[in-house]
Amino acid sequence: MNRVFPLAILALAILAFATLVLVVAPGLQVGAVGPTPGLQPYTAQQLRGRDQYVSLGCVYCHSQQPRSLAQAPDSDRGWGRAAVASDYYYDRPHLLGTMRSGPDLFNIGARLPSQGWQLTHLYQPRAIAPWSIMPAYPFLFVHKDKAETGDVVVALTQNYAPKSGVIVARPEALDLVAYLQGLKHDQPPPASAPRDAGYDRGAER
Amino acid sequence: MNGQNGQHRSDEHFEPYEEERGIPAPFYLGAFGLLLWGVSVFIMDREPVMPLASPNPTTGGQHLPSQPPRALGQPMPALAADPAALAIIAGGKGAAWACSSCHGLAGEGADAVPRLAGLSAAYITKQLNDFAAGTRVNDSMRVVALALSPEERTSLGAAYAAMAAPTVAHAMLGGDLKRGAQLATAGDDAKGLAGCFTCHGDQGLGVDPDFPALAGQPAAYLDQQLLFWTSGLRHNSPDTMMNDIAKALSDADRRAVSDYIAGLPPPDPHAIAE
Repeated sequence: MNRVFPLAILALAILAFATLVLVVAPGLQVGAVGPTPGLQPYTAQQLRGRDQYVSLGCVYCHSQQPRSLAQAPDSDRGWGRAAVASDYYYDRPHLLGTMRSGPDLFNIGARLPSQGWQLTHLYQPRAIAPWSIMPAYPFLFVHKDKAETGDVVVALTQNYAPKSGVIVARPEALDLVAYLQGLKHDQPPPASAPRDAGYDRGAER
Repeated sequence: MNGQNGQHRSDEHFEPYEEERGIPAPFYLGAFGLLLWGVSVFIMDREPVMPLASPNPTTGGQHLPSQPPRALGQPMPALAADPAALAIIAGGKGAAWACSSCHGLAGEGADAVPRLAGLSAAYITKQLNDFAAGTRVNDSMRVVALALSPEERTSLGAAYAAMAAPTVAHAMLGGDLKRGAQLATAGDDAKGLAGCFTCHGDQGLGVDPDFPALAGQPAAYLDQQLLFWTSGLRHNSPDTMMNDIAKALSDADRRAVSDYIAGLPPPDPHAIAE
C-alpha cells in the first residue's frame, strides 16, 4: 500500500461517477415530472390505509409496478398498462416492491373495486380462493353479537362465518380497503412520459 | 540468493526494474468510441414511445352507427326487473357481495371486470350456473354463484339483460385496430378463422341465446378470456369452439381484436325493445 492517495482518488471518482449516473441523471430526468393527468391525490383515509399497507408488510409479496408487454405479460394478467414515473407522483416513498408472491396491486382498484370482496379477502383469503397462500388478517376485524349502526359486516361463506354473531370491519380494515380501491392507474400516460422502453424496440406492439 | 533476499528486506521500497509499457493508443480510441456510442444511444432513446392507451374511447368503431350514451342509473320503465334481483345487484346476499360492487352500478363493467348490461339473459344465467358447477373457473364468482338459488340466477340474468349503460371500455392493449377490425368482421382465411361477428352478431351485439354480445366489453377482459380459452382454463362453449378459435390467434392478434371490440358501441336493450 504505497499508493494510498491515488487509490483513494480513484475510489472516490468511481463513487462519484456511479452517483452521477444512478442518482443525479435519473433525478434530472424524472424530478420535474408532474402527476399523470387524471390521477387523484390520496384522501386522508387512503393515506391511513397506506400506512396499514406498509405496516402489515403487503409490499413484501405485492409489487406496484406493472411491466410493459416486452418484459412481462402483465396486461394479459389484467394488471393494467406499464407504469410510468408520473404514476408515482403522490407516493412518498413509492411502494414498488420487488416480490410477486402475490399479484401486482397497482390497479387493484380498477380490477377488484368491491369493498365487500376486499374485506372478505383480508379476513380470510381462503374463503374465496382455497389455494391462496396469503396470510389472513383477522385482527383487522372484530366479532360482535349483533351489527350496530354504521358497522360494515363482512360477507362470509358458512364454513368461515362465526357460529353466532357477525364479523365487523375495524377502521383499520376500512382504511386499507379505501387505499386499495384508490389504486387505479388506468389513465392514458402522457406521450412524453419517460419510461423504461429499452426492450420495446422492435418488439411486436 | 540469501544475500539478495537480505537486500530486499532491508529496502522496503525496492521495486524490480520493469520496462515502461504504456497503454496502446487504440485502447483509448476504443474506450472513447464506446463512451460516445453509449451517450448517443441514451439521447436517441428518449424519443416518446407510442402511448399504450388510446385517448379516444371509441377508436375503431367510428364507421358504426353511434348510440347516444345513457346516464348511469337511468330508470328503465319499459323493462322493469324483479325487485329481488335488483336488491342482490345493489346489496348482495349472504356470502355473495353486491354484483354492482365490481360490475358497476349499471352493469357497465370496469377494466378487467366484464360488462353485464345488455347481455342475453340466457347467457348470464348459464355462466352463473357454470360458476356454481365449476365448469367455468373463477374463485370469486364461484362464491357468488353458490350463494344464489337457481331462480335467483335466472332473475339476475333477466335483470341485467334489460339494463342499459354507457360504455366504459376503450382500446388499452396497444393492439393494431385495423387488424382487429379485419379479424372481427372478416376473419383470417389463412388461419382458418371466421370473423367474430359471423357468430356473435352484427357489430358484435350478440345472438341469443348462445352467442353473447362482445361490443363494449373491456379490452382487458376480452384479452384475458381469450387467453383462458387458449389455455383451456375456460372450456364452457359448445364443442370447444372458442378454444379452437383462441388457439389460432397470435398474441398480437388477440390484443388487436380485443382492443377493436372494446371500442364498439355496446348493446342497448331499449333500442331492441322499442
